[in-house]
Amino acid sequence: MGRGISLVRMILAGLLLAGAVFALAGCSPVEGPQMMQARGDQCVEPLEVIRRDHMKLLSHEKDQAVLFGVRNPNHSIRGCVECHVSPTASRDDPSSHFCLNCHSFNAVRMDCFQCHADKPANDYHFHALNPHGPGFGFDSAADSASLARDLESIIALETQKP
Amino acid sequence: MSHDSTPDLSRRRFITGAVGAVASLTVAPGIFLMQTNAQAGTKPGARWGLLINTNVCGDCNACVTACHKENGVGSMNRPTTDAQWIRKVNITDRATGHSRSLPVMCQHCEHPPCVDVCPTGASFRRADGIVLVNKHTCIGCRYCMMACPYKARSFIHEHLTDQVPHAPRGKGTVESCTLCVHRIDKGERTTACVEACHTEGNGAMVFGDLNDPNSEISRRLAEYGGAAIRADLGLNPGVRYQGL
Ligand code: SF4
Ligand code: SF4
Repeated sequence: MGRGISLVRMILAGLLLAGAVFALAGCSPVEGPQMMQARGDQCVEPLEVIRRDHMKLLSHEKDQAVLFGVRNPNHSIRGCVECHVSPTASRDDPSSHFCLNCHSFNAVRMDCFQCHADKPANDYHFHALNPHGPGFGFDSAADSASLARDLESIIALETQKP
Repeated sequence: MSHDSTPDLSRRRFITGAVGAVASLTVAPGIFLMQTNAQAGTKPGARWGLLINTNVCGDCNACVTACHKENGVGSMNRPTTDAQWIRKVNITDRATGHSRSLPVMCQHCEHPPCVDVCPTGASFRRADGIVLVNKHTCIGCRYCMMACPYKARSFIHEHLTDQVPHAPRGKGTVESCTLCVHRIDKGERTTACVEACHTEGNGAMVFGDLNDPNSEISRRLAEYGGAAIRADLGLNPGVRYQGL
């Protein structure tokens, strides 16, 4: 009698297992989100590094930039946005926004864009590996326009009676 | 990877490594030797400041408009809570009736009370004297707003969109004049307010390095002097005024 019950139990368990295997086999792999093209041909780091560890790079960069004024365009959130986000992207429609697209797929809620601009500025600031070259705003030396402005104000000051 | 927020030069040099290399060196998956082509950081020994000549500053708002445009500070049409990074203040001597108009912004104090009271260390003073809010760690408690004797800081009450890329700003954090730190770190030697004062205003403002005796600002201060507002508090602000 006892053996009969345990046999029935085993058969039931086996059936359940087989059912589960069939159900899983019926699932197709989950499709990743459709990512948009970036401007330029090369990222600042190899793909497997940037995909896995971009948050570490950005976190390091933010402290260096905010606390010490050490700004590295290659690892700045601004650099990411300039290459990857379309000027017409919208935060309200994650599928139009490179960062939000993947983050919403992976159920990662990050707050960067509550403060940081979510779209490129009119003057692009590409990183150094982008064949389009970095924008002037990322030059460490003063650009000619600002030098001209400085000179103008110095001349204006020299000629003006205090 | 350092989460250490103490400005420690040798440690930073160690972490950032050789200047000039572009990519970081991956030691093992997820572990990097940070190498950057970043700029060198704050100018060693500098203390940035402003000198404002109230004798020539008049009925003009060019600096305020320029600052708020530069940093994307817009009005929410609620004047009592709108952010103000810089404002024009009119003062009148009751005895003589003589009046003055002057711009007031964060005074970039050497001994800033806003830094003393901040519970998270978000309010901090850079090595070059610029006082900033690190919005990554600001919890929006507004202690610094209470502590600042110049009412220089504003709180963001509402969700913001369309910030400018060089000036991140967001709901729940406190902000104030950054002395156009994005320009200074780029090597520029002027701010939006000073620039506008010279092109559209009365040429009343000078920006420069207070620690460099040959800078325009130091030469003017040496020759004509300059007063701090509320000098009695002993905060040694980096913003000085003439003609008060
Ligand atoms: S003026 Fe106010 S906000 Fe600016 S450094 Fe001084 S105490 Fe801090
Ligand atoms: S509001 Fe932010 S910066 Fe000001 S004291 Fe509080 S945590 Fe510090």
